[in-house]
Amino acid sequence: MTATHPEPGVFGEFVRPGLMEKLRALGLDVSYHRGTRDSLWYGKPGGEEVEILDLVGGFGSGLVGHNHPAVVARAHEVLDQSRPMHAQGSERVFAGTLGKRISQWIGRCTNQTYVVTLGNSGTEAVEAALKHAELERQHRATELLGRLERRLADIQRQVGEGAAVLSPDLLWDAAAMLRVSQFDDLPSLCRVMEQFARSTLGRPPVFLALEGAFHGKTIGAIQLTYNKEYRTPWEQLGPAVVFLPIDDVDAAARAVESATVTVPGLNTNARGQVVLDSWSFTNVAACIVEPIQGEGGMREIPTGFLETLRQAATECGYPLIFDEIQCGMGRTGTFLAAERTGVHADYYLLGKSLGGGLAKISALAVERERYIHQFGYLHTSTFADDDFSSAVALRTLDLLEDDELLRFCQEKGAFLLERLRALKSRYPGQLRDVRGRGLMIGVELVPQLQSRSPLLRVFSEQGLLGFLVSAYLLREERIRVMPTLSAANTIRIQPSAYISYEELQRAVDAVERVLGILRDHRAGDLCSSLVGRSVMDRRRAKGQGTKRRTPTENGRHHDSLATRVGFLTHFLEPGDLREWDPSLLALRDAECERLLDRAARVVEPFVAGEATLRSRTGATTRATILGLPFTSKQICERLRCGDDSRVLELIRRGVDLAAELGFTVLGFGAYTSIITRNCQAIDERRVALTSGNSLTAAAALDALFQAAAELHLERQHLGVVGGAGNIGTVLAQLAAERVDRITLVGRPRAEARLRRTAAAIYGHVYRTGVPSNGAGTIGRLVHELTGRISLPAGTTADSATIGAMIRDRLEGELGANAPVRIATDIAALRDCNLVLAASNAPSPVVFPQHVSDAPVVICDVAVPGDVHEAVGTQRSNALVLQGGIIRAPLGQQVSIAGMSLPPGQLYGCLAETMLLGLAGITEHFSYGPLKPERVRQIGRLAREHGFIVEPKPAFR
Amino acid sequence: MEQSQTIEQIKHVLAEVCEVDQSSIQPGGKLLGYGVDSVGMVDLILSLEAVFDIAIDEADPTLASVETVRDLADYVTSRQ
Repeated sequence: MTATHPEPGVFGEFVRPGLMEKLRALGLDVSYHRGTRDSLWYGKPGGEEVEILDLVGGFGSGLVGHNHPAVVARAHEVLDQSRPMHAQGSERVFAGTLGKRISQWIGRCTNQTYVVTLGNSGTEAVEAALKHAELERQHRATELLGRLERRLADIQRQVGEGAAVLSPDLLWDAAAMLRVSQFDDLPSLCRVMEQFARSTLGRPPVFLALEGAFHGKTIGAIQLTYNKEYRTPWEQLGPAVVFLPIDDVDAAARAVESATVTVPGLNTNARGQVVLDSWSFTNVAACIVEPIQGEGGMREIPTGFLETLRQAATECGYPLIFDEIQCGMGRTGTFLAAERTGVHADYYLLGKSLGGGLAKISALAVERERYIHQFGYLHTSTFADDDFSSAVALRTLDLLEDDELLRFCQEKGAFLLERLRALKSRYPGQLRDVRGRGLMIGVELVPQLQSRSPLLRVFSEQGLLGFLVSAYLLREERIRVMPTLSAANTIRIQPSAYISYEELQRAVDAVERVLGILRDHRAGDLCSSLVGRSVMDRRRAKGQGTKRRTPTENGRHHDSLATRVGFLTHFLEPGDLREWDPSLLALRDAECERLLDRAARVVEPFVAGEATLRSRTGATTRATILGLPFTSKQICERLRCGDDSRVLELIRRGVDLAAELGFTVLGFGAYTSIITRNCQAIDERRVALTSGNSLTAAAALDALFQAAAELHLERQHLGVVGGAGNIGTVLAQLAAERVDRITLVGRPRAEARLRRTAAAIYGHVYRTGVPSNGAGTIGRLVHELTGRISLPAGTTADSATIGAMIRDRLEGELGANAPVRIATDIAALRDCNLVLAASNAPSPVVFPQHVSDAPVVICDVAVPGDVHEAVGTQRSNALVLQGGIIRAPLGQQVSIAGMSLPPGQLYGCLAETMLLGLAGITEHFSYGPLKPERVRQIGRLAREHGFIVEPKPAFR
Repeated sequence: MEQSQTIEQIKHVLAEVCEVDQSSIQPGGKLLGYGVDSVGMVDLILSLEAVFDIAIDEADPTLASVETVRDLADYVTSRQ
């Protein structure tokens, strides 16, 4: 409890859990313990110190670098003087001096003087500016109201004295204008006019800001920040803001016009008549602009547009605010970034580098003539105006002149911009733009949406490319950069003014290397640090540039009339990741898992592949594979820890994505089906959901009977392993329509449940009316029996009840010869020449000794498999088939990367999803427990559309 | 029976039915992680009925809300 030493590893638990999770995922979770100028150091576990070139510069607050000796010395000096901790309500000498210096610095550019309000952070300066601007607006409104009241009183006096008369229609016209029935006299009209003016001028104000703007994250400032992700949750809490597109002069004019209100009043004309009059009031509190947008991606606002905004503000009387918190203080080569434009603001905001990297301090400078004196006590803060921060800021301002920092920023910025811009011609597909001024530079990457690397495409689509590049530069090049907060593809470069030319060149070289990696689609190299290796084995990665059809390319060949379906799944094995993205070929299984483990924390469901399929009916469907960044094992591990919330969250987002993409059907593959209990955990009305299990079951039955027919197996006796479960029961019910006998095999103590399955089989045969001349004898026996006995009629009894009656009668009459028998010993399979294995056992349960010596066909639909490999290798009489694999219609060689199947073959669950698309079915299909009618229906559809079940040996 | 004892017994049954290491089973772990889906639940119920000498109807709607080892212990306790 009393430890004062910092404790590693608890920041993510007690301070910023969500952020640390993201940083960890992206490999940016470094803890720096030392910093000087443009270098930061962190310690490796073995104690080795790693030096990093820091180009983030405290998000623009490090103009003088980390721990500038002069600033540190000044801080020590102030602390050693034992100055009062905080002395509110007294004269603050350091703050006063700082205010004067700031006024002078800005005044050099504008020839004005300013009153400075100090704060503790940039966003606080923005809040102060909003408050002062609103106070100004209220003063303007009060002044207008006062003028109106004086005018109305004066006119009433003139009329009373006979110096003026009402114009003939004044009272009628005024009633129409103010939408009242009538006015009896002038005093009543004046009262209503005053009330109307108070109401109109009392409306909440509007602020103007620019698209792409970033002004902070406190409640007021966040309203001015364009990025919706930051703003939306708190939109209801702050003032109204109109965001103007940059350089859209007309939009600016429209915004001002729509915020302008008309206040009706009276006047006298030349003939001494009282006539209607009106005054306009622009209800804009302020227009706020960053002359160079920082977090919006380092964008300079065009001078012409700044002039337009200046003119509108001047004409309407509201203040223009320049937020120079990031771009000011000399970073762009002039003290104010707006200096180059010649446009002046009424308020200026400073922060970030003002504190020399040591103090938290910001400033709002309001032109003296506009400053409202009561603001000095209306807006205060415990820690504002403190000696320590003010003294440190003063020393920092000294450095601007003493060390010629503005010149440094100009010259070094020009050097860096020139070299970075030279890369644009060499990497046009990777480097979109290099923007900025001085040492405030943004390098905008081209999202790699067409990359041959699916991983790079996904990271690009999800706005994570900038973070991936930042992680690479940190770990491989030992250079720290970060994306800007509202433009994730723009890398910020904001070093100190003292950075050396060698370091700048090092940065340029590193950027070039990363651009080369992107150009060559080498996702493996980019991710190498995330999987714990620093050098990729390029030998193993050979062939990584193999051209693969991308989802986008596939999309170009599609029939526009195709229905669109989605299939949500994940990687089954780590190696599937390598198959999906060949540039990751060098990664070992454990490294693939490590990469997926990181990706799972930040990546959303993504488009992993696409395939178009034509039915033999001519219908076409396009299936989009939506991937989740997990392997089966990883999902299983999360389940075992009770921590599957992220998996469920991503499944739900996958459903949302399917709805957004306009899919009619979404199939759930692998664990997405298991974890949602065959889709039941998802309450969805926009997209039809299916687990795909019906076709898997139908295909298993087809495969079994096709093989049986080819082997001429007669007197068919089917054994069902896992006969007490839902899948086993449904398979047995449907098979009962064709076979002669069934033996249901279950675990010891499962007798009661197996007997229920037997009843379900008889009930199904009875209900479906299997003809007595059908292929098997079960139908015949049931038919004969039900002809002799009386059963509850029609719908008065359910299938289970009727089935139980039939079961009991047949067992009574035939004993061990009843066509459906139960067994709890797996050896009972030895009597069977057909076997369907559908248990839930975690390891194989069917071994060679359990299998008949005569020819036998076994179809294994269990996952993991029920049948031991030895059955296939040791029993030549046994044909073991893998369940659930379907061949695409018309010989189409459909291939989906990452699914580990030969071209043309599809998993049953995916094939069912595509079939539903082809058949135009838009309701949940295999949803919840398996149902015989669904299996039969999908089997019919599969035949109709030309899908083929080919008995596929499980072991070769 | 104490809840902790019930959980230990359930872990034992689960380890046997699902062939996993008993010490790796956590009370908060989801049964699905051990392969116990609606089909697997049938097998698990058979063993639970024998060990705890209770009758469980797998169609019992309460059973549908059993997700974790701890949920299952609560359910078994309620049936005793």
